[in-house]
Amino acid sequence: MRNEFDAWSTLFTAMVLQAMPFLVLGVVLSALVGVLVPTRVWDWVLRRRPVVAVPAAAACGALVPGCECTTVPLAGRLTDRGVSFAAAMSFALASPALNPIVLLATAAAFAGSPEMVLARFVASFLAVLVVGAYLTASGMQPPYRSGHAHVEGGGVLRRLSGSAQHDLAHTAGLVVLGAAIAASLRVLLPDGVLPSLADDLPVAVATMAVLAVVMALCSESDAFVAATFVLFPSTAVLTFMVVGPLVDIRLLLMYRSAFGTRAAAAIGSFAMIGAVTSSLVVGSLLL
Amino acid sequence: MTDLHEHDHAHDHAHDDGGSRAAFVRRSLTGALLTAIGGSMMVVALTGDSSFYVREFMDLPLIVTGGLVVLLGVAAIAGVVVPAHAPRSLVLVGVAAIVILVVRPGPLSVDAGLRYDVVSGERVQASFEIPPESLVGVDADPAEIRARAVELHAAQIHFAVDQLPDQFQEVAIRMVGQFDVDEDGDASLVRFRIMCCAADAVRLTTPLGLDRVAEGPTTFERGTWVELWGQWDGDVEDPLIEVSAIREITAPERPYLTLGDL
Repeated sequence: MRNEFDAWSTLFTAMVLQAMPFLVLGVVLSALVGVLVPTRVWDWVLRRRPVVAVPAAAACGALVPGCECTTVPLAGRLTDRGVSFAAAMSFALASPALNPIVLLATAAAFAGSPEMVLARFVASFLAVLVVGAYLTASGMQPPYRSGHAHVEGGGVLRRLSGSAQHDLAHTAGLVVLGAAIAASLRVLLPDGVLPSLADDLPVAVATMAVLAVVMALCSESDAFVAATFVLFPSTAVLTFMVVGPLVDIRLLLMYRSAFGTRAAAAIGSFAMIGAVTSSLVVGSLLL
Repeated sequence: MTDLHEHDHAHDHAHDDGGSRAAFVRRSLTGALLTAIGGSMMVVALTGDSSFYVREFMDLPLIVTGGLVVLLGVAAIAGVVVPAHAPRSLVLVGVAAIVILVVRPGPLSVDAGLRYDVVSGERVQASFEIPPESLVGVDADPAEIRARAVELHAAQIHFAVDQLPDQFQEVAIRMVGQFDVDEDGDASLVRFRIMCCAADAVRLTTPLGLDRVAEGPTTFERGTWVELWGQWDGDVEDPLIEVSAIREITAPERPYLTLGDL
């Protein structure tokens, strides 16, 4: 039991320390968006054409290196400023899933297999579009539950500080909770189960999808872990890399906190459906 | 997530409730929790304990962002920037601060519970070049091995065996890692490789042959950090290091390998 606790505490601490700087960056960016960028800018950029906004936001996200912990509060603040929920979430999902650092890391982890990099990009982009299309069609526009920081008065610095403090207070505990759950599941994962699940493609894909949710890895590092699952079919390994940046335990908690249970369930389920489906299709074509 | 205090318009505005005791407790608690987690981030980076959990390049971000969080916490306590309300989940950052500062977990050990092992399937490729000074011939003298050994890890040995099977048996090897022994009594050396943090660690394992060790102990508690010297046994499929000397050491400052080591 002591060994398990030692392992848990190291994994838990690692996940918290790895996530916190990115979370702080996210709440700072969120504060800048909320305090400094006028609403009319977002109207002009994204609000007028919601159908175009989703792929455009996904493409923008692909160009911006962002961690999952950074983009969720940012998406919340964008919706708070009037950007459509579908576009904000498309940006938030695409940034950690598709950014250049993630693709370079994938290329390094799968050296000699450039098709895996292409497959990851295409499958992740399609999965983001699936979520964005659903959110657009549903017209879902949940309020940012963390709401206003109530620091309308005072100077810019005080308003920025108030907004960042507010967003941090609403998200930091959830990052910690997600880390605690993910570390627990990692430690409790039974011995020798994974190899027995690698032979059958549907089972292997489902296993990798669940593992991605449970492990809650950063998108910049998940390719190196994925590359170690050598017993699994390439399509299942691709699924692991496509699912993880879109939906994991930590993210589900953050989605729920930011947008409510219904929106979190919609994002989580459509991200999972989109990621698994696109991985199967792209994997069968490219891998 | 339920609020620490019910959201109440009277509580929304700092100037309305700043003088009340409840508001003081609320902002002090929020501030203290933020200060604790921000301080933990800074302490762990400044003491070097961060190497047990994350890559070295995270030290500066931990210090800078931790300092920012401390400032936000102090601003809350001082009433300069007053939090309107905070969710109950914020209490968990206090738990995290306690784990980081009080429990102070060490680096992952062979008992870490990470069940996958990757050496046989290592997909990260690298070219391996033998340093000429490490060529001592097959079955060299232990003293010569120790004097001329080149430090390698499991993945490098894997590459070398694959790329240079005709020469690598002549190389004197030094390795550092954690001693492990399985249920059958077979010994191995374990080192973890991380990309971002310990959560993405993969275990690199090197089987060990200990029959040639001339002096000193040949078995240790699982997870003991050891330094050893030896040579490859010539088996391409399942490479093993025939150890000529092994000793216990303290954990290295940098317990994990990274991609840069490959």
